[in-house]
Amino acid sequence: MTRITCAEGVDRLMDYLEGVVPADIRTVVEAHVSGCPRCAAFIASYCETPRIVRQATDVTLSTDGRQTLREFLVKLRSS
Amino acid sequence: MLAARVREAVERLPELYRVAFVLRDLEEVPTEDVAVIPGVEPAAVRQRVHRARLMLRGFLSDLAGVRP
Repeated sequence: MTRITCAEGVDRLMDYLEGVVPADIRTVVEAHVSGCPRCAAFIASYCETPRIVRQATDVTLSTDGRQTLREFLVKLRSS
Repeated sequence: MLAARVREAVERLPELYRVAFVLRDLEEVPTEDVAVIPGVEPAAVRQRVHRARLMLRGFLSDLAGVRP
């Protein structure tokens, strides 16, 4: 793959942001975005979405829920 | 008012997407750990978070009066 469309780039965006796309695809995505202001703007708003939701609401786990989750994850990592 | 509408948007997400989004994006639980909870591959979590973000982004754009 040497080129990518906007839609193909969007489909791979989360994988790209988490660093799990192959290096050659990463290069193609970056080349596309560098020449596509629309995609650059999209990515900026895409990355901002969690922060906006977090700031606008209190949608989170309860304190008990968070503690339970932490304990679960600690057990998971130690098993 | 804004908070209520954003909260409503999160609550309207399909449950699979909402759970993944809240854990991964709001609670900042690593993707690999989120994946263990429903017993899926990390790729499935990434896909769910991706779809949740797209849906929420569209909703937030509507609120702001701009096209996503």
